[in-house]
Amino acid sequence: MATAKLTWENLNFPAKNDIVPVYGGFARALTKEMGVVTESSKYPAAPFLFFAPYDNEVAKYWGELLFPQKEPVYLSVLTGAWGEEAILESPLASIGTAAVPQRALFSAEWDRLKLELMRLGSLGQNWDGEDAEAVSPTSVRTARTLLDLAQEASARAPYRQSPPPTLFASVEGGIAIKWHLGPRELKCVALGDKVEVIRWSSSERFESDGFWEVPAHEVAEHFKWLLQ
Amino acid sequence: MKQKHEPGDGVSLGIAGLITVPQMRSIACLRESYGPEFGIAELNVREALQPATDSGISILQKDDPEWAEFQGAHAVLTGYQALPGNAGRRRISELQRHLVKLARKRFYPPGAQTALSAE
Repeated sequence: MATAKLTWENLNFPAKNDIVPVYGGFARALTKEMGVVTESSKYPAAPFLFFAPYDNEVAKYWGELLFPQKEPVYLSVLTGAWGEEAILESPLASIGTAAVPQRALFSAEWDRLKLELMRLGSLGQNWDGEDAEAVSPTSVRTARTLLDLAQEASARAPYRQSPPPTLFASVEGGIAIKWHLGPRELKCVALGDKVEVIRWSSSERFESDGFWEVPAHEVAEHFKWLLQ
Repeated sequence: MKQKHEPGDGVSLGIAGLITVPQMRSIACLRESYGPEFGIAELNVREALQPATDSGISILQKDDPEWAEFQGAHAVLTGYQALPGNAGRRRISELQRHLVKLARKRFYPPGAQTALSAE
Protein backbone atom coordinates (compact mmCIF):
# COMPACT_ATOMS: atom_id res chain seq x y z
CA MET A 1 0.00 0.00 0.00
CA ALA A 2 1.31 3.40 -0.93
CA THR A 3 1.29 5.62 2.09
CA ALA A 4 2.98 8.82 3.05
CA LYS A 5 3.30 10.33 6.45
CA LEU A 6 2.21 13.88 6.59
CA THR A 7 2.29 16.37 9.34
CA TRP A 8 -0.19 19.15 9.10
CA GLU A 9 2.41 21.69 10.09
CA ASN A 10 4.63 20.59 7.23
CA LEU A 11 2.03 21.16 4.60
CA ASN A 12 1.85 24.57 3.11
CA PHE A 13 -1.82 25.15 3.78
CA PRO A 14 -3.15 28.66 3.47
CA ALA A 15 -4.79 28.09 6.81
CA LYS A 16 -5.22 25.06 8.94
CA ASN A 17 -8.95 25.23 8.71
CA ASP A 18 -8.86 25.01 4.96
CA ILE A 19 -9.93 21.77 3.47
CA VAL A 20 -7.11 19.95 1.91
CA PRO A 21 -7.39 18.56 -1.57
CA VAL A 22 -5.79 15.18 -1.80
CA TYR A 23 -4.91 13.16 -4.80
CA GLY A 24 -2.24 11.05 -6.33
CA GLY A 25 -0.70 10.08 -3.04
CA PHE A 26 0.12 13.48 -1.71
CA ALA A 27 -1.63 16.55 -0.50
CA ARG A 28 -1.74 20.00 -1.98
CA ALA A 29 -3.50 23.14 -0.94
CA LEU A 30 -3.78 24.97 -4.19
CA THR A 31 -7.50 24.80 -4.70
CA LYS A 32 -10.61 24.13 -2.70
CA GLU A 33 -12.64 21.79 -4.82
CA MET A 34 -11.69 18.47 -3.39
CA GLY A 35 -13.04 16.75 -0.39
CA VAL A 36 -11.18 14.83 2.19
CA VAL A 37 -12.61 11.89 4.02
CA THR A 38 -11.17 12.33 7.42
CA GLU A 39 -11.42 10.91 10.85
CA SER A 40 -11.25 14.41 12.12
CA SER A 41 -11.68 15.01 15.79
CA LYS A 42 -12.17 18.67 15.03
CA TYR A 43 -15.17 18.01 12.84
CA PRO A 44 -16.63 14.81 14.23
CA ALA A 45 -20.06 15.65 12.89
CA ALA A 46 -18.82 16.30 9.41
CA PRO A 47 -16.58 13.46 8.40
CA PHE A 48 -16.99 14.24 4.73
CA LEU A 49 -15.73 17.63 3.94
CA PHE A 50 -16.86 18.34 0.46
CA PHE A 51 -17.30 21.81 -0.73
CA ALA A 52 -18.30 23.94 -3.62
CA PRO A 53 -16.00 25.25 -6.28
CA TYR A 54 -15.02 28.84 -5.86
CA ASP A 55 -14.55 31.95 -7.95
CA ASN A 56 -17.01 30.55 -10.45
CA GLU A 57 -14.23 28.68 -12.14
CA VAL A 58 -15.71 25.29 -11.79
CA ALA A 59 -14.67 23.76 -15.06
CA LYS A 60 -11.16 25.11 -14.95
CA TYR A 61 -10.31 23.77 -11.57
CA TRP A 62 -12.24 20.58 -11.87
CA GLY A 63 -10.51 19.84 -15.10
CA GLU A 64 -7.18 20.44 -13.53
CA LEU A 65 -7.78 18.37 -10.48
CA LEU A 66 -9.98 15.55 -11.52
CA PHE A 67 -8.56 14.43 -14.76
CA PRO A 68 -4.80 14.37 -14.66
CA GLN A 69 -5.03 11.74 -11.98
CA LYS A 70 -6.41 8.35 -12.80
CA GLU A 71 -7.06 7.73 -9.16
CA PRO A 72 -10.46 8.85 -7.94
CA VAL A 73 -10.02 11.67 -5.54
CA TYR A 74 -13.12 10.85 -3.60
CA LEU A 75 -11.52 7.73 -2.27
CA SER A 76 -8.75 9.62 -0.59
CA VAL A 77 -8.63 9.35 3.12
CA LEU A 78 -6.80 11.01 5.90
CA THR A 79 -6.72 9.19 9.15
CA GLY A 80 -5.65 10.79 12.34
CA ALA A 81 -6.89 13.78 14.20
CA TRP A 82 -6.94 17.25 12.79
CA GLY A 83 -3.78 19.07 13.71
CA GLU A 84 -1.97 15.89 14.48
CA GLU A 85 0.14 13.64 12.42
CA ALA A 86 -1.88 12.21 9.59
CA ILE A 87 -1.45 9.22 7.37
CA LEU A 88 -2.40 9.81 3.80
CA GLU A 89 -3.08 6.70 1.85
CA SER A 90 -2.98 6.39 -1.87
CA PRO A 91 -6.60 6.46 -3.00
CA LEU A 92 -6.68 3.22 -4.95
CA ALA A 93 -4.60 1.35 -2.45
CA SER A 94 -6.94 2.30 0.31
CA ILE A 95 -9.97 0.57 -1.13
CA GLY A 96 -11.25 -2.10 1.13
CA THR A 97 -8.64 -1.71 3.80
CA ALA A 98 -9.45 -1.20 7.39
CA ALA A 99 -8.30 2.38 7.14
CA VAL A 100 -11.31 3.29 5.04
CA PRO A 101 -14.64 2.45 6.59
CA GLN A 102 -16.95 1.06 3.93
CA ARG A 103 -19.66 3.36 5.13
CA ALA A 104 -17.35 6.27 4.54
CA LEU A 105 -16.59 5.20 1.00
CA PHE A 106 -20.25 4.71 0.35
CA SER A 107 -21.18 8.18 1.42
CA ALA A 108 -18.17 9.75 -0.23
CA GLU A 109 -19.22 8.32 -3.58
CA TRP A 110 -22.53 10.12 -3.35
CA ASP A 111 -20.88 13.34 -2.31
CA ARG A 112 -18.62 13.05 -5.30
CA LEU A 113 -21.65 12.65 -7.54
CA LYS A 114 -23.19 15.78 -6.15
CA LEU A 115 -20.03 17.67 -6.90
CA GLU A 116 -19.99 16.23 -10.38
CA LEU A 117 -23.54 17.46 -10.80
CA MET A 118 -22.42 20.95 -9.91
CA ARG A 119 -19.69 20.75 -12.50
CA LEU A 120 -22.10 19.56 -15.17
CA GLY A 121 -24.40 22.41 -14.25
CA SER A 122 -21.69 24.81 -15.34
CA LEU A 123 -21.64 23.52 -18.92
CA GLY A 124 -22.71 26.24 -21.30
CA GLN A 125 -24.12 26.29 -24.79
CA ASN A 126 -22.23 24.12 -27.28
CA TRP A 127 -20.32 22.27 -24.59
CA ASP A 128 -19.89 19.34 -26.96
CA GLY A 129 -18.94 21.34 -30.04
CA GLU A 130 -22.14 20.06 -31.64
CA ASP A 131 -24.53 22.78 -30.50
CA ALA A 132 -25.58 21.10 -27.28
CA GLU A 133 -27.79 23.22 -25.09
CA ALA A 134 -26.53 24.67 -21.84
CA VAL A 135 -27.46 22.59 -18.83
CA SER A 136 -30.36 24.36 -17.19
CA PRO A 137 -30.45 25.18 -13.47
CA THR A 138 -33.89 23.57 -13.26
CA SER A 139 -32.52 20.34 -14.65
CA VAL A 140 -29.70 20.46 -12.11
CA ARG A 141 -32.17 20.94 -9.26
CA THR A 142 -34.27 18.05 -10.51
CA ALA A 143 -31.19 15.87 -10.86
CA ARG A 144 -30.15 16.77 -7.33
CA THR A 145 -33.53 15.55 -6.10
CA LEU A 146 -32.98 12.32 -8.03
CA LEU A 147 -29.57 11.84 -6.46
CA ASP A 148 -31.03 12.29 -3.00
CA LEU A 149 -33.75 9.76 -3.78
CA ALA A 150 -31.24 7.36 -5.25
CA GLN A 151 -28.96 7.63 -2.26
CA GLU A 152 -31.86 7.02 0.06
CA ALA A 153 -32.98 3.99 -1.95
CA SER A 154 -29.46 2.67 -2.05
CA ALA A 155 -29.05 2.99 1.70
CA ARG A 156 -32.16 0.85 2.19
CA ALA A 157 -31.24 -1.71 -0.42
CA PRO A 158 -29.83 -5.11 0.42
CA TYR A 159 -26.81 -4.40 -1.79
CA ARG A 160 -25.26 -1.66 0.24
CA GLN A 161 -22.11 -1.67 -1.81
CA SER A 162 -23.82 -1.49 -5.16
CA PRO A 163 -21.93 0.78 -7.53
CA PRO A 164 -23.36 4.27 -7.57
CA PRO A 165 -24.87 5.72 -10.73
CA THR A 166 -23.00 7.79 -13.25
CA LEU A 167 -23.93 11.27 -14.37
CA PHE A 168 -23.58 13.00 -17.65
CA ALA A 169 -25.00 16.00 -19.42
CA SER A 170 -27.55 15.56 -22.18
CA VAL A 171 -27.39 17.57 -25.36
CA GLU A 172 -30.86 18.93 -24.67
CA GLY A 173 -29.75 20.73 -21.54
CA GLY A 174 -30.61 18.01 -19.07
CA ILE A 175 -28.75 15.74 -16.72
CA ALA A 176 -28.80 11.99 -17.24
CA ILE A 177 -28.29 9.47 -14.49
CA LYS A 178 -27.40 5.94 -15.49
CA TRP A 179 -27.41 3.12 -13.02
CA HIS A 180 -26.68 -0.57 -13.47
CA LEU A 181 -27.14 -3.41 -11.08
CA GLY A 182 -26.64 -6.88 -12.42
CA PRO A 183 -28.69 -7.23 -15.60
CA ARG A 184 -30.94 -4.30 -14.68
CA GLU A 185 -30.27 -0.88 -16.06
CA LEU A 186 -31.96 2.42 -15.45
CA LYS A 187 -31.55 5.74 -17.18
CA CYS A 188 -33.20 8.88 -15.87
CA VAL A 189 -32.93 12.16 -17.70
CA ALA A 190 -33.80 15.28 -15.74
CA LEU A 191 -35.10 17.75 -18.29
CA GLY A 192 -36.38 20.82 -16.54
CA ASP A 193 -38.68 19.70 -13.75
CA LYS A 194 -39.64 16.45 -15.47
CA VAL A 195 -37.78 13.19 -15.58
CA GLU A 196 -37.68 10.73 -18.42
CA VAL A 197 -37.18 7.22 -17.15
CA ILE A 198 -36.24 4.28 -19.31
CA ARG A 199 -35.21 0.90 -18.03
CA TRP A 200 -33.98 -2.49 -19.14
CA SER A 201 -34.21 -5.74 -17.23
CA SER A 202 -31.76 -7.44 -19.55
CA SER A 203 -28.34 -6.19 -20.52
CA GLU A 204 -28.59 -8.11 -23.79
CA ARG A 205 -31.84 -6.76 -25.14
CA PHE A 206 -32.04 -3.68 -27.33
CA GLU A 207 -35.65 -2.92 -26.48
CA SER A 208 -36.32 -1.30 -23.15
CA ASP A 209 -38.98 -2.40 -20.69
CA GLY A 210 -40.72 0.93 -20.76
CA PHE A 211 -40.51 4.70 -20.89
CA TRP A 212 -42.04 7.06 -18.39
CA GLU A 213 -42.16 10.82 -18.09
CA VAL A 214 -42.75 11.63 -14.45
CA PRO A 215 -42.04 14.21 -11.75
CA ALA A 216 -38.87 13.57 -9.78
CA HIS A 217 -40.48 12.09 -6.69
CA GLU A 218 -42.05 9.31 -8.75
CA VAL A 219 -38.65 8.07 -9.82
CA ALA A 220 -38.16 6.55 -6.37
CA GLU A 221 -40.14 3.48 -7.42
CA HIS A 222 -37.79 2.95 -10.35
CA PHE A 223 -34.77 3.13 -8.04
CA LYS A 224 -36.48 0.59 -5.85
CA TRP A 225 -37.00 -1.65 -8.88
CA LEU A 226 -33.32 -1.43 -9.75
CA LEU A 227 -32.12 -2.18 -6.25
CA GLN A 228 -34.60 -4.88 -5.33
CA MET B 1 -29.50 13.12 -30.59
CA LYS B 2 -32.01 15.94 -30.34
CA GLN B 3 -35.54 15.40 -31.56
CA LYS B 4 -35.53 18.98 -32.76
CA HIS B 5 -32.57 18.54 -35.08
CA GLU B 6 -33.47 19.63 -38.58
CA PRO B 7 -34.30 16.82 -40.99
CA GLY B 8 -31.09 15.58 -42.54
CA ASP B 9 -29.05 17.03 -39.72
CA GLY B 10 -27.88 15.00 -36.78
CA VAL B 11 -24.97 13.70 -34.80
CA SER B 12 -21.64 14.33 -36.50
CA LEU B 13 -19.47 11.36 -37.30
CA GLY B 14 -16.10 11.07 -38.97
CA ILE B 15 -15.57 8.52 -41.69
CA ALA B 16 -12.69 6.26 -40.75
CA GLY B 17 -10.21 6.17 -43.58
CA LEU B 18 -10.79 9.81 -44.44
CA ILE B 19 -9.93 11.29 -41.07
CA THR B 20 -7.84 10.21 -38.10
CA VAL B 21 -8.87 10.32 -34.50
CA PRO B 22 -6.73 13.35 -33.58
CA GLN B 23 -8.18 15.24 -36.53
CA MET B 24 -11.73 14.80 -35.34
CA ARG B 25 -13.50 18.03 -34.63
CA SER B 26 -15.16 18.59 -31.25
CA ILE B 27 -12.34 16.92 -29.37
CA ALA B 28 -11.20 20.29 -28.05
CA CYS B 29 -14.71 21.09 -26.84
CA LEU B 30 -15.11 17.73 -25.18
CA ARG B 31 -11.73 18.01 -23.53
CA GLU B 32 -12.68 21.38 -22.13
CA SER B 33 -16.04 20.11 -20.90
CA TYR B 34 -15.05 16.71 -19.66
CA GLY B 35 -11.29 16.66 -19.36
CA PRO B 36 -9.52 13.76 -21.02
CA GLU B 37 -12.00 11.20 -19.74
CA PHE B 38 -13.73 10.44 -22.98
CA GLY B 39 -13.00 8.30 -25.97
CA ILE B 40 -13.59 8.24 -29.70
CA ALA B 41 -15.53 5.16 -30.69
CA GLU B 42 -14.96 3.28 -33.90
CA LEU B 43 -18.25 1.88 -35.13
CA ASN B 44 -19.28 -0.31 -37.98
CA VAL B 45 -22.27 1.28 -39.71
CA ARG B 46 -24.15 -1.97 -40.16
CA GLU B 47 -23.67 -2.96 -36.54
CA ALA B 48 -24.58 0.52 -35.34
CA LEU B 49 -27.88 0.61 -37.19
CA GLN B 50 -28.80 -3.06 -37.11
CA PRO B 51 -31.39 -2.92 -34.31
CA ALA B 52 -32.94 0.29 -35.61
CA THR B 53 -33.30 -0.42 -39.28
CA ASP B 54 -37.07 -0.20 -39.08
CA SER B 55 -36.90 3.26 -37.52
CA GLY B 56 -35.70 5.21 -40.51
CA ILE B 57 -32.44 6.02 -38.77
CA SER B 58 -29.46 6.16 -41.07
CA ILE B 59 -25.89 7.33 -41.42
CA LEU B 60 -25.22 9.57 -44.38
CA GLN B 61 -22.14 11.29 -45.72
CA LYS B 62 -22.71 15.03 -45.59
CA ASP B 63 -20.07 17.66 -46.22
CA ASP B 64 -19.60 20.06 -43.35
CA PRO B 65 -17.67 23.25 -44.12
CA GLU B 66 -16.78 23.58 -40.44
CA TRP B 67 -14.62 20.51 -40.82
CA ALA B 68 -12.50 22.49 -43.31
CA GLU B 69 -10.15 20.18 -45.20
CA PHE B 70 -11.94 17.20 -43.68
CA GLN B 71 -15.43 18.26 -44.69
CA GLY B 72 -15.74 15.28 -46.97
CA ALA B 73 -15.02 13.00 -44.03
CA HIS B 74 -18.11 14.24 -42.25
CA ALA B 75 -21.20 12.07 -41.88
CA VAL B 76 -24.34 12.33 -39.79
CA LEU B 77 -26.42 9.93 -37.85
CA THR B 78 -29.90 11.11 -38.68
CA GLY B 79 -33.54 10.19 -39.07
CA TYR B 80 -34.25 9.86 -35.36
CA GLN B 81 -35.84 13.31 -35.26
CA ALA B 82 -38.74 11.96 -37.29
CA LEU B 83 -39.64 9.54 -34.51
CA PRO B 84 -42.57 11.14 -32.74
CA GLY B 85 -43.22 11.81 -29.07
CA ASN B 86 -42.23 9.62 -26.19
CA ALA B 87 -42.07 6.55 -28.39
CA GLY B 88 -39.44 8.35 -30.39
CA ARG B 89 -37.52 9.42 -27.32
CA ARG B 90 -37.60 5.86 -26.09
CA ARG B 91 -36.19 4.56 -29.35
CA ILE B 92 -33.48 7.23 -29.30
CA SER B 93 -32.44 6.17 -25.79
CA GLU B 94 -32.36 2.55 -26.88
CA LEU B 95 -30.15 3.39 -29.82
CA GLN B 96 -27.85 5.53 -27.67
CA ARG B 97 -27.40 2.63 -25.29
CA HIS B 98 -26.70 0.28 -28.19
CA LEU B 99 -24.05 2.64 -29.56
CA VAL B 100 -22.39 2.96 -26.17
CA LYS B 101 -22.23 -0.81 -25.89
CA LEU B 102 -20.57 -1.00 -29.29
CA ALA B 103 -18.24 1.83 -28.39
CA ARG B 104 -17.01 -0.06 -25.36
CA LYS B 105 -15.72 -2.75 -27.69
CA ARG B 106 -13.45 -0.45 -29.61
CA PHE B 107 -12.51 3.09 -28.71
CA TYR B 108 -9.57 5.46 -28.76
CA PRO B 109 -8.67 7.44 -25.66
CA PRO B 110 -7.82 11.09 -26.41
CA GLY B 111 -4.56 11.34 -28.28
CA ALA B 112 -4.24 7.60 -28.72
CA GLN B 113 -3.69 5.96 -32.10
CA THR B 114 -4.38 2.51 -30.77
CA ALA B 115 -7.88 1.34 -30.02
CA LEU B 116 -8.78 -0.09 -26.67
CA SER B 117 -11.64 -2.22 -25.48
CA ALA B 118 -13.44 -1.88 -22.19
CA GLU B 119 -14.59 -5.48 -22.35
